[in-house]
Order: sequence, then C-alpha cells, then structure tokens
Amino acid sequence: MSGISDTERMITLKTVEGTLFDVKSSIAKDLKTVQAFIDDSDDDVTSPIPLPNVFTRELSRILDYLNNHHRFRSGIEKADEEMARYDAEFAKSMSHEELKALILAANYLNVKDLLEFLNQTVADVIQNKSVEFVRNFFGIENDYTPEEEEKLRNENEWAFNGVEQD
Amino acid sequence: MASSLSFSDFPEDVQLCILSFLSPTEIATFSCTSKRFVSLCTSDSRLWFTMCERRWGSKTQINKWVKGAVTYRHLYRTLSEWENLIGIWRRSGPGSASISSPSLLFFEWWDTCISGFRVSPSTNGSYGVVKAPFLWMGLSDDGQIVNLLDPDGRSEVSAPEFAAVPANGEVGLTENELIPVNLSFMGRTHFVVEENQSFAAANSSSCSSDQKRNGFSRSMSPGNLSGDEYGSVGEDVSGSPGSLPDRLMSEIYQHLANRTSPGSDKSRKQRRREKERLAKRKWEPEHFVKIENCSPTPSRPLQGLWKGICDDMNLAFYLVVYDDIGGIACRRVGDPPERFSNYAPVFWTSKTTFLETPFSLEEETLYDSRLHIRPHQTSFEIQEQFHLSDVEVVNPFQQLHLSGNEVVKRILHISSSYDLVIPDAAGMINPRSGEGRIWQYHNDTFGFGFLCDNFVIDMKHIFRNGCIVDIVNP
Repeated sequence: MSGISDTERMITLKTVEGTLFDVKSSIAKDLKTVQAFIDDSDDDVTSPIPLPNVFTRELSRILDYLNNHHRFRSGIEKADEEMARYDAEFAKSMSHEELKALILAANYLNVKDLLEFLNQTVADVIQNKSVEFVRNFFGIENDYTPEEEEKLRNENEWAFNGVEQD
Repeated sequence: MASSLSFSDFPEDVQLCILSFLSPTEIATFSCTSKRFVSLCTSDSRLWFTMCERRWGSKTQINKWVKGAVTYRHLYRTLSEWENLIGIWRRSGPGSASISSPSLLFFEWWDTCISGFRVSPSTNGSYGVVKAPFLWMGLSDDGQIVNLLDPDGRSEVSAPEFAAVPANGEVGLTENELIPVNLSFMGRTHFVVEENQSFAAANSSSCSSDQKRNGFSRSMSPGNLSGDEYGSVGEDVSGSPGSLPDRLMSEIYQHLANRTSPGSDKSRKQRRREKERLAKRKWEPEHFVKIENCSPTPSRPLQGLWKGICDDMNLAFYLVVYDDIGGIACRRVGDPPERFSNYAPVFWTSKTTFLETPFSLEEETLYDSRLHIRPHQTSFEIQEQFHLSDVEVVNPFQQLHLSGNEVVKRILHISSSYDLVIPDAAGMINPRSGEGRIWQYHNDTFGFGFLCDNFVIDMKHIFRNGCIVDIVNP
C-alpha cells in the first residue's frame, strides 16, 4: 500500500467493551500512548490496538474533541472563537463523574492539551467552593478530628471569606 | 459504572496540575479536606512553582527569582502584590526639591526583579524620552524583600544583586549608591517609597521570632529602633507606613493607614532618636499614584499621556483625563509647582463633541494659518528632507511650515485655564481670549492651540503597545 500518504492511514482502536474505532493516523498522533505503541511496532499495525483502561464513552468523547480541534486549526479565520465556544460546550456537556472519568482516560492515553483543559475545568468547578463541596466532589474522606478541623478553620479564617454557599 | 472516582484515583501529576490552577485561598481550602493532601498543597518546588509559572512565567524568569532559602510560595505572595505596580505612576505632591524625585514612573518586568524607571522629557529639543533606572525590587537569598532606589538615575541599566543586609546592621552604600527603601501600598493605586535606614533592625533581637520565621518583616518601619512600638506581627504591610514628612501628613496617614500605635506618646529619648535619624536621611518619602488610563481608547481618543513641544521649545509631558460628566482636562506632568499650580489645567472642556468635516471657512483659516511647533532641525537635515535651495533654508517661517502638517479629522472647542485676561490696546477685554481648539489628526494624535496665539502644539504618544517609544540617552 505504498501510494497512501501518512495522514490518510487509519488505525483501529478497541475499547474495554470491545467497540472498534477507526482513527486517522494524524489524530492518533495526539494519543501519545497509542503513537508510542505504533512506533514500537515498526509502523506495522494491522489489527486493532486494545485499550484495556479506556471505555467507549471516554474514547468517543476524546476523539470528538481531537477531531474538532484539528478541524478548527486547519480553518483560517475565527478559529480561536470557535474553539473557545466548543470547549465551553464540551465542558458543560459532562457530569462531574464523567469529567473525572475522562481525565483518567486522557491521562492514560496521554493527550496533553485535552488533559490540561480538563484539569482546568475541574479547578474551575471547585473554585471558591467550601471544604465540604470539595470533599464531596472528589470523594475525599475527612480524617481530621473535629478539634483539628476547628483549629485549621481558625488559622485559615482569612481564606474562608468570600466562599460560595454549597 | 464503577463507583465514584476520588482524588486519590488520579496520578500525582494530574493532582498537581489541577491544584496549580487554583488560587492560594483555594489551596488552603483543599488542604483542609484531608490530612493526606497537606503535603501536596505545600509542595513548593512542584505546586507553588507551577502556580508562579502559570501566572507570571511569560513575563519573567520565575526560577531566577528564587535562590537559597526562598520558597515559591513566598514568591507567589510577593509577586501577587507587586504585580499591581506594572504600569505608569505619577508622583503625588510637589516632590522634594533637593533630591531628584521623578514625576513619572514606569514599572516593568525584568528577569529577576521588577524595575521602575523614571520617564522624563529629553532636553535636547527633540521628541525623545529619557528612561533611567529608579527602583529595583527583588528578593534576597533568604527571602528578604530588597528594594533599591537609584536617586540620580545614573547607574547602569542592569539589575543589581539583591544581597540581604548583613547581620551587623551596617548598611553601607553599594557601588552605585543605591539606597534601600521600603515600598508600602495604600490601596491599589497609591504607594509610598521611604528610605529604609534601619534595615538592620529587622535582624536584631528585638524582632519577634514570628517575624524571623516569615523571612522578612516589611511591617517594620524604618527608624524606630524599639521594636515594641509596633503592632502585631501579622499586620498587613499596606497599613504601616512608618516615617512621615511632617505632622499634617502624619495625621492623614493615621487616618488612612490603620496604624496600631499612635506615636504621639513618644518619650523625649525617642523623639531625639527620631530627629537624629531624620537628619541622616538620603531620601525623603515620596508618594506615587497610579495612572489608570494612560492610553487612548476608541471612545476616549484624547485620553492618556502625551508629549509635546510647547512654546518655550522644550518637550513636556501632558496627561489628559476624562471625567465622569463628559469633560476632559489636560495637565502638564512634572512641572515644579512654581511654574504651574498643580490644579490649573493646560486646557479643559466640559463637552467632548467634536466638529466633523466639512469644517467652516473660519475654522479652516484658524488652523491653516498656524505654525506647528517642531523640534529644531539642523539646516542640513531640512535641506536633505525637502530639497531646499539655500535661500529657502534661510527663511525660518518656511522651516516651520515644511514639516508636513497633519490633516485634521475633527475639531474640538477647548478653554485654557488662564484667568489672566489681558485687555487689548483699546482697553477692551476679548471674551474669547481663553478659547482654543484641539485638532484631531487622522493618525489619532492631536494638536492644540489657543486663539490668542498662532501656534499648534502637536501631541505624540509616549507609550505604544505598553512600551516607551523614542527612548534617547540622557
């Protein structure tokens, strides 16, 4: 198949549930874990690449994000505006659980820009929220005794001004 | 689906990345969620470094600020406050006559410090601007804030070494005669620069252990050697100014500055010490106020700082300010008080409605007949530029005309502040004698002049895109 250029080659990925996704190799480059696998196999990848840690829902979202960003970048004008709008919608379309799951998937697949964007989104969610909210969001168990917590609160009194009510 | 994901499910890199987007307040909140994450929240070289880098990495070299015992957390706190300095400030008050105190300051980011430059008109008759070092603000190895003031602006334009003051308290002058000073904020648009004569007091035993732990003690004012005059250690620096020019300022300060110790109950000994200290001062306290709107905007095209050559053929700086009721006023920046009172504007108007083209014949004549005051050009330059014959060069009026007058886009009526109304030969007072015009040009600069004379003073930008243009050597 020597006539086909690199960007047109398709890679197949398989999720935990067994769903297959065909991905252009130019997009696959952004999935650095996948790209490393391809490089290691001397470019000879014919069978689907299994992704044991990635579920269909997450891979679908990641590919959606990458496809759109590639499309925006190749466009000429107003790419920044369009991208910002898309990113905002993308972030809003997920529940908190879905957001956390996507972070893990993006981390496993090593998709740098998306991961940074998701981390910022999570930071925005917990911005200005109370300790209880953050605990709930992240499933963090409180291991302070009531006395310790009281003491901490007093020490950081200045930090608790302006915090939103849950 | 699996049970809810928790923070611990994320790898540490991801955890740190998320935290690095938060503010210090939120980091404090996060560290209250569980003991497990306290070390994450205090991890200086990873978390706090990333926070500094994210916020200021594009403006300065974060890793170069930090040497020795300084933490990135301390740096974050320092830069959060100093960041407000970036921009243009003007001196508030007449300034001490004996020491060259700048009337205009420009702060910018350098690799290892923030530096403030004095900006003044050049005196060679051109539109050049002189930019000379005034203040260097950095951190020493042990986290002390070191602000160094260059009183004459003669030193090299390169950042000095921010050495901590030696423990024996001897604050000798450094090689460029830089003076250690304190810079205290009073709100976001006002600061005071005062000499730090007893930097050493911060290292002496009178300092409480809390202050030592903080690594610096800006809340210690210079001069007062008995540490117990001061309020609690945790006092925010924006409230404690220290040395004061005189009694009246002292009262104003106390009103504004929230000082905890009244100072009026000083013993005689302390008063004498105070007097001795004041006599040895090399730098009098100066106040500076931020110029918030220093550039024109589409709705305020005349706003900001400008430079123009006025009728004495010297370059001067002007500040045009729009007020809340649709008027504008222009003042010269940096004149000594004898020449112009600080409150008398060069020109003003209460209505900023421009006249558009086509202009009436009267207006056109008013403009066309005027001479634009321009910098001296040598005969040679004029000859080169305009291909003049020798005869033409000799004619001084032609020289003034030939510099290519700008095309006028719009006209505005203004008044001068001069109440001085001179009757003409017949003893009549011309009611229009204070009246003038602003001529706005197509290149968005403008010129102004008054009906009582025949000149146009053309104004040019001092700053463009946040940088000073036309810098010349002093």
